[in-house]
Amino acid sequence: MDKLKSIYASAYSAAITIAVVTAVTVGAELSPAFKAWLTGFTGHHWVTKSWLSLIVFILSYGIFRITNKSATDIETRKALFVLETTAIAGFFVILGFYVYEFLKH
Amino acid sequence: MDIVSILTAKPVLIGLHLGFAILAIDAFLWLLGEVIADAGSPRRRLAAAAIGSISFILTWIVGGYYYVTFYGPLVKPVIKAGNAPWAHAIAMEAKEHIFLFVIPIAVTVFLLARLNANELQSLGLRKGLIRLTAITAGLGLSLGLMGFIISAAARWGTI
Repeated sequence: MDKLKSIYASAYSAAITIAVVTAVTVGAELSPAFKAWLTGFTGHHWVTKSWLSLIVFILSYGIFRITNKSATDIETRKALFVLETTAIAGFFVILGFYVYEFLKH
Repeated sequence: MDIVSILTAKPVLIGLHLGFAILAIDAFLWLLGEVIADAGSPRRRLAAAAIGSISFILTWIVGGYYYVTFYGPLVKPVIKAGNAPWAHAIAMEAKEHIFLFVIPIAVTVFLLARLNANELQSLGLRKGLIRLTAITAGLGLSLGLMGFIISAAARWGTI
């Protein structure tokens, strides 16, 4: 079913995007050189991360759509579970990281 | 004063950012009600998911413009020098990055909302749609709370 294939591709792409945003956010805070490198693309690190999130999501979606012939209901449920878990984990990793960073200084 | 000057004025940008965010959260809460109530037609679900997703995109653009143009140079130094610097260091830093989760999740919810009630039930995706819609609305509400903390720190953090 084409609708399932879209949902499956979007769920995994969203999970990958969240993982990338979380990793890049923490990485940029830990490495000023990396943050400066991100800033160099657009003039602001957050604008670069915004574009990066869009690019990662669209590219991943395209790759999942092209490489996957179909997705079953079980595979789609699993993809949604992965997305839910990643979103909740990403939320607490980012929030927890900034709380830790503030308390550390 | 031309329309561009009015729309890019600081209070108007804040109002639009907040307005679109409220609309987006309300739309996803509406969608949540539709799915929990097992409404048969996907038309209302699609409308709610589309309004929510588009509103999140608009609040991203407006809020992003305000953040880069005004917040960084004008508001951030006031908060950091005030009695609640954590409002920037924790709430703003977390808010601006966690927001980037929302659009990909909202798009996935929109794609799920295209399924009718029978398809959602027979494919076992109804609970997944409920959980993901609740996460979307919950993320929106938590970002709203962080926004309130940031505004309060800017207004009252120096008094």
